[in-house]
Amino acid sequence: MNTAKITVKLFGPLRGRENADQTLAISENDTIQSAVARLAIEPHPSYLYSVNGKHARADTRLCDGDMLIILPPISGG
Amino acid sequence: MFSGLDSNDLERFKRQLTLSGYTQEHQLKLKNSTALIAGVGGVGGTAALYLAVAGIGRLRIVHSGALTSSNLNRQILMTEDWIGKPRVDCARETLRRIASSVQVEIFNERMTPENTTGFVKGCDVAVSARPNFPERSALNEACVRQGTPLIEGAMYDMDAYLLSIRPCVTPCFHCLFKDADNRWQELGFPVLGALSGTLGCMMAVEAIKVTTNYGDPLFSRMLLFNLARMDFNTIAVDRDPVCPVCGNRDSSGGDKI
Repeated sequence: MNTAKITVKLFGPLRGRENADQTLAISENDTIQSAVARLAIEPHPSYLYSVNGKHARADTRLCDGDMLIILPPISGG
Repeated sequence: MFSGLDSNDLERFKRQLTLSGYTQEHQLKLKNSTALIAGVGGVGGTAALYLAVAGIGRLRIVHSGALTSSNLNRQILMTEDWIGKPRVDCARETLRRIASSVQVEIFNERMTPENTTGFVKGCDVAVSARPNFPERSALNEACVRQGTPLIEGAMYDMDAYLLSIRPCVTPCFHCLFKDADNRWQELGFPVLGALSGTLGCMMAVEAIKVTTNYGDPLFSRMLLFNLARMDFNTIAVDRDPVCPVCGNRDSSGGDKI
């Protein structure tokens, strides 16, 4: 049985020290919101999400091979 | 107050006047433009520097506080002899030495909902480079109210994002980020000067494009990058139709009828 996976790019303080992308196994009904929970990330109303280069809402369903980007509000200037 | 291109301009800017599609008309627009630089740190100071050497007519710089030693790894307009004194004064002195024809106005203040409208008034573009969410939010609201294009960019560690905003036409800052993250530390984020400078250069490029109508600015697109891996991503971003800042206004900044 094939396992569906997505690639996750975390930015800002969410990114780990290793600066690496993550791979996450997903199930059929997973959304961004459930993926965020699976990644043990505390949700925040200001996180900007993108799936495959397009702005996305937290309730967007995820599919095998998707690229999910999560950007928290950063302000370094 | 401003004028046409003179012989000094044509000599000084002759190398950029050979850019593809960039004409004397673009240079004249730049000469007759004013940019608000909201923050003259590692990002905003670099943007101000490259706008100045490109030939912008006037810079209005807003930044509060005195220079410290720990600013010097990134704040490229600052010099060691200025430690302890206001950064905006040092920025103006450095810019005068490099590009004396640029008019530089300075304000040693933080941006607030009360004073930001006045800073934006009369500017053709604003560069958002303050190190905190409230000042960025105040600047966005003032730009939306006045219909002033805003170049929005921020960084953290080896990451940065950039987009340009045409108020009430493309997504504003508040369409994308609703609230501050209260864990953000204004004076505590990690920063390498070469990264903040890279972002500042890109913001200057966007400000030049927007003011002169050159190229294809990052409207409705966000550039998001990590320089530790040289990983660059572009995201198509959408307006929030019920955005409390821009959702009920037309493109002039006025209320919709």
